[in-house]
Amino acid sequence: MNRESWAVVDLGFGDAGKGTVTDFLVRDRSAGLVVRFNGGAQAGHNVVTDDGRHHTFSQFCAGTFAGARGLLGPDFLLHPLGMLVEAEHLQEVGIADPWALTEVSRDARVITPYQQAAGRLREALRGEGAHGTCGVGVGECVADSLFHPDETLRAGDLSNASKVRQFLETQRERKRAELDGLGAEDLSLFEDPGLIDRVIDAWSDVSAHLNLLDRGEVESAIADEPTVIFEGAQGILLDETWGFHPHTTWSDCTFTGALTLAGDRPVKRLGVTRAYSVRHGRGPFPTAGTMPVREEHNVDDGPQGTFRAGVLDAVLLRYATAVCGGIDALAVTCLDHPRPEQFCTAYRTSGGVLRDLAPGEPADLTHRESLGAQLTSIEPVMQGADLLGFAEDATGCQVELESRGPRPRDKAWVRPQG
Amino acid sequence: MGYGEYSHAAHVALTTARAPRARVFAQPRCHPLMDPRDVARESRDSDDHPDSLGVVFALDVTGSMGDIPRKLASQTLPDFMGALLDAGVRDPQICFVAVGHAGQDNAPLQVGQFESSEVLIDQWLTRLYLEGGGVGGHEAYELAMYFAARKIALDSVDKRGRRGLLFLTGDVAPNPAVSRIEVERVIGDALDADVPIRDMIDELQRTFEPFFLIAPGAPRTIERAWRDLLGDRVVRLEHADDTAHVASGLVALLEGAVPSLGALVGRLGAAGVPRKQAARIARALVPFAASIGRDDAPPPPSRDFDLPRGDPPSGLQR
Repeated sequence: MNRESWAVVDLGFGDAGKGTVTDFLVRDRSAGLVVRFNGGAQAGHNVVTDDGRHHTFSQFCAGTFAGARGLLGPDFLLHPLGMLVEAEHLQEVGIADPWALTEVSRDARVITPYQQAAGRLREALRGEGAHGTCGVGVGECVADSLFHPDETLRAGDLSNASKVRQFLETQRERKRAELDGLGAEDLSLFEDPGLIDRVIDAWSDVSAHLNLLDRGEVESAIADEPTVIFEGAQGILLDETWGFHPHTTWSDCTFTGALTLAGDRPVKRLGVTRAYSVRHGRGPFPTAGTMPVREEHNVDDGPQGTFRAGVLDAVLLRYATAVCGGIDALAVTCLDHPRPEQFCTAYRTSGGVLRDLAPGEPADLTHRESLGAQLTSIEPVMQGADLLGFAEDATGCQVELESRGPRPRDKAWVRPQG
Repeated sequence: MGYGEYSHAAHVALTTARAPRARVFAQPRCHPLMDPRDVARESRDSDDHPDSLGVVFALDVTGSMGDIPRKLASQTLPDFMGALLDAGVRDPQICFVAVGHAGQDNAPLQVGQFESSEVLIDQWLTRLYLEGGGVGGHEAYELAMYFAARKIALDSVDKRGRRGLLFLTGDVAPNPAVSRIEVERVIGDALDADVPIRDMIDELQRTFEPFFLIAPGAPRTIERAWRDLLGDRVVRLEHADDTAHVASGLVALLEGAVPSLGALVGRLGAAGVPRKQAARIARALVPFAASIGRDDAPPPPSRDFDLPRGDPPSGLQR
């Protein structure tokens, strides 16, 4: 049996076009299954079909329009009510029963309204030192699962109302006390006596829709499928380990999760970048402002903050490729936008010219924090080059897929795939 | 990278503030959290609200009130907190109570919790179950009084000797006694005998200043029956829309937050209340204002002795 798998990962700060690339791969490779192996409800993967339907995929897989099943893996961070809202929108754009296409690992962690509120309150308390957030509660949920592992709620627990109630009551009291101690302003959510009842009601609605898989079922769902696409979320430069702390996301944004779930399947690692660099919200971004950009589906609102763009940055591309262990193929999107002819090849610093960032040891978050600080004080060295050649040089990998627009028909392989 | 729109929308829908208007009274039966059986309620001071004053608003939700309860709960009462603050109450804590038919309804009495935040108050309003319909039987006002008198503890009373406020709304005459059978069925207390309504009100007045707001259009005989029990604390509304303003106006006059009725009307105008409505509110408040000498009328001439004027609120002198 032909067993083909692709893992799609963003080489930058996110927003490179993983959704639209996933949709194309599902169609072109006739994939039956798309696996979300990292991140969770904070993802926003835009897909536009050839007939003009648009959806921002968050907790349903970007292969949904193309008819693939979706699997939310064991590391996924589930926001059950967000799924409900998203399912409604999917129905409006013609997916009659998005739930039927979706399977969920019982181990997926569940984000609660208390975590969502606490995440935002914490970010508000940081003031000028804000880290950048989507406001979904992902970080809070991951932190809780690390520091209070026995208090972690998982997708498999959602139908157990008494467990959910006990869990939420414990969490409410712990977070209220903690946030009160920090001086958080608005704790009304934690004092709302009816919230838990409403959450339980609403979650039980969602739970009735979920097709839950235990560990063995997840493994066989992936193993039995001829063609699988692993749809990454966020971007390597936001990775919980390799990103520029503290402006990171609580998720492994490299290929690791995909390779683990793939088991013995061979996986083609596809790195995705736009023809330029983008970043939503706070954090270092050396080439920010070096080119104008039009943006349709990413807008400057919500807790994420502003959307910035700049030319491609070879230093960051080299860094991203190095920390994720290398890529097998490169996809470049947004080639329909005006192409810059100058690119950032190195940084000018007070100590001379810097071509590479040393990743440091995995555990050394302080090192990445100082890298991030350094990135805010350097000046990009710009050189004229051909875009695709520049990207290939920086990543050490050939461009296999080019995208000139949001729809599947706007994409083409550079050379035929086997 | 990030996107939070669906989860944000879901979060807002779940946690926000005000439920959609249409959902007020959408409860199919008495919400378990509002069941008065075997429970008590407390209005307590806190660091944020050191000078708490418990305000109980008992809404008649029976069918004879027509659309009034729905309008009150969805349009007028959500802003009651602000009106009380404007009236000079520093730390109001509001508890909503719904009064249905004694003897037959599923929920003759529904009791919320004392809340200091508008958001939370709104949630209690959303939980109210509108009984409607119901022919015969009588409105269980006396059960609300019983509950307030015996089941509610107020820090303002215990610590400062200051009574809470109880507003009753309705359009039916008082029942002559509190039925021990109903008390046991609805609230769960075992009594030896029925409590005569006058005894009940005397007991209630140890901890609450009761007011009865008569619904527009109720017969004069109803008003008379209540006046016989509550004297000047009975106020006839000209229009249901005025309910929250009239109630807060009573508080403002009582607390001395406004020196007189004229000043209160000026304040309503400044708050954007239309002139016509302000006039209605003023007319409803005249008898009470007069009873405490705040109706702007010149003091009556007297050669024999000075009538006491402007003395502090002393509750009912029946």
